Amino acid sequence: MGALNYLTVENASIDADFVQFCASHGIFSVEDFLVHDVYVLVASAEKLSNSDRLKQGINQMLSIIETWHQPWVSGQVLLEDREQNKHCLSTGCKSFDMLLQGGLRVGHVTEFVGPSSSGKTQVCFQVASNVAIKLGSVVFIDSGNSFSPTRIKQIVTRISGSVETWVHGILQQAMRNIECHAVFDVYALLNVLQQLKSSLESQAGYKVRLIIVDSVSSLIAPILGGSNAQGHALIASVGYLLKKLADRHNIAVLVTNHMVSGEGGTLKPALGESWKNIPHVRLQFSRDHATNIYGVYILKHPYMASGGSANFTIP
Amino acid sequence: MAAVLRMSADIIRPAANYNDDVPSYILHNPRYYPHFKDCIGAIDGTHVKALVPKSEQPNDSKREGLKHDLTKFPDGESAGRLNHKEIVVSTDEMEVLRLPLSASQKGKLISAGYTSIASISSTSPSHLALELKVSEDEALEILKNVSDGSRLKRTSSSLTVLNGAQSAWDMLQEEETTRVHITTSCADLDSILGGGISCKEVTEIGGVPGIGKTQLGIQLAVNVQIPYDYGGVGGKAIYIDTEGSFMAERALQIAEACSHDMAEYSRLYHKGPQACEVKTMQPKDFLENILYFRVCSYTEQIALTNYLDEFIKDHKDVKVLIIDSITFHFRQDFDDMALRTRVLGGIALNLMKLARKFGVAVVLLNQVTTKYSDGSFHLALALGDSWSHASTNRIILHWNGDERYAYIDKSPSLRSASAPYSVTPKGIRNSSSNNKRIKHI
Repeated sequence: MGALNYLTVENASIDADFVQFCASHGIFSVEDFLVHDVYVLVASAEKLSNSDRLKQGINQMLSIIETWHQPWVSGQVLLEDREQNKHCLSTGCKSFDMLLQGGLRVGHVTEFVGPSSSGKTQVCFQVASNVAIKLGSVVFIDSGNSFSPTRIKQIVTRISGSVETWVHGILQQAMRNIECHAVFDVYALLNVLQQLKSSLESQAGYKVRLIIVDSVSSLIAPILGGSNAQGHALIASVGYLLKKLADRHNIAVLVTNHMVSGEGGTLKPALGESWKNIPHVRLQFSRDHATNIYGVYILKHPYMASGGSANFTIP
Repeated sequence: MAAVLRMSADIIRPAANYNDDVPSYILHNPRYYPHFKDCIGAIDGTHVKALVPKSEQPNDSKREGLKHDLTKFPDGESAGRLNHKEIVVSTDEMEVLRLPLSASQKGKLISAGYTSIASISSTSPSHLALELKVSEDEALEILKNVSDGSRLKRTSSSLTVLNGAQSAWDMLQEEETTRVHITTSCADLDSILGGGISCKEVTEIGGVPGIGKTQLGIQLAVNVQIPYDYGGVGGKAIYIDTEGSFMAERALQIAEACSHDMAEYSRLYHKGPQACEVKTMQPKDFLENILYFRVCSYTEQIALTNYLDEFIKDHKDVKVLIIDSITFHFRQDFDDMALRTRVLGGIALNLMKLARKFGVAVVLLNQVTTKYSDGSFHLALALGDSWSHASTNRIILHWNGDERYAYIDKSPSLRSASAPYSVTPKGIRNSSSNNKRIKHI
């Protein structure tokens, strides 16, 4: 989209006369065209000498615009897509899987919220290892240098059993399946996601099953707020990209967030109202320091009641 | 030299009328005046000590934009272009939004109708300059940013692993072969840390006053210089002091003890032809390799954090960066808490980037505060919940009876454990009591 002149290159009926005609109505870009009343345009085109050409141009514009929006789909198609493509990825922890009725769902953006040291990164490692061993490749986007290969090795060894010779081959294969990116600002994150999107679209063999962003709040918090509206626009951008990747390419997306203090001394998830609606599933983590048992609690889920909770330990 | 350091706060002062007048290049440039009339210069990477008298410290939101830009745009050029225009996000792909341009540039691009990268890259710089009503140089800069972004897209299509990524297997091999820990000189502490403070990570150490944080900081600044042959990493240290608690004589004392220990080690383990090649380090060599910065306000702290990227590029053998303490200037007199959170978030990301890019161990020393939760008071590190994700590992130092203990509060790869240590004239050493033991929690 953009300036109308950009379209003249590709389309014969949108020529200089047409552009001038539009300019006389104050239309300089495709957005202006959309906002303008088409009937009024057609009526004024009638009065001019080259009205046929102009009407052809208008029709061409409308057909180009048709190709740019998402197609309408019926509920039946959506249901079939859901049954064939959108499975659940097991997290490797039984109580967690039971709480989520199978695990992390492909096509959903799941958010782990919790105070510091409540097990979010550990569960991310667990899920990543489980998916890397059994299902496919994992992209881990790390903003806090917390990705630790030795810890992943421990988890993979524990999951795949303790037979020494057999484990080594699995270990190498599984760890090769996990890619780690270190990003330190939100533009780098957008870059990585954009690259991922174009590789998935262009290469048939490249399949990713899980994307983990740990943590999205430390990337967005420095630009959110203040007099600039850019922070909110970037949250929307990030959310849109993640959801598109999840839905189009059948990937489960996992993000982590931290908590800030809210009213009355209670904690609430960071990033505020604009981020609140972006993840499909929100899970809150807590940790009992005395007994070292971690708890997870459903804050928001598209089809399960919130309030369900489960306990687990991290060996 | 140590004496001069201590007197520096009194004897070194800027000239009396250092920042009286508005510099002429700001006064006559309509882009900068009146927005920057109180500015004393642009930050281009040199360390500028900027002290604002307390009476003039800002308490209105107009200056907020400048502070925000200090963390995001360290170059003076784009710092002035703040735009309060609303950016209307259409439902289609606003690729322009994702480019690292300033807000006003993006606003101009969008209002001129350029919303996708393809439409921008097909125009010429002069045409773009005309449409956006900016100078040709700026248009060229915008096009350069756009082409960098699209070049990345094209090159990645031929790889199965994305640019800049490493697979976990490669990272594991790398970690197992290179030595990446700085010893703390206390064997118990080293063992719960998996060998010592790890390079490439940001470690936060907090505790009550008097527990030994500065001592640990100085010990690390000395220990990082232990040569490779003696089991160390052989690098230099940067010590950023915000409270004025660094004592050069104490550093000398610790360095002497370290040098003595190294001589002992060499006598016991380096025998025969090896003995002549291994060099010994004198205590004053240790002090020479500690690069010291004194910071007096939070603006300086932010400026210094931005400057460190260049500095470490020039001093490639720096292996540890100690900030003592990170909280001091942010705790008092900060009226706007939201701004504090944003600024701290920006600093945290900068430090993470430094740690990763140069393989430097970043050690942040923090103070404590009490928190009321679950019906009881307990100690927690200062700077709030949002700061808690700024470090990779967190260690809390506390008293247990009359013993000092270090406890790992947060770590992605280490078990929760606590170990005793003691502060001796020689520095940080093992605790000498008979009934000490390491507790795994």
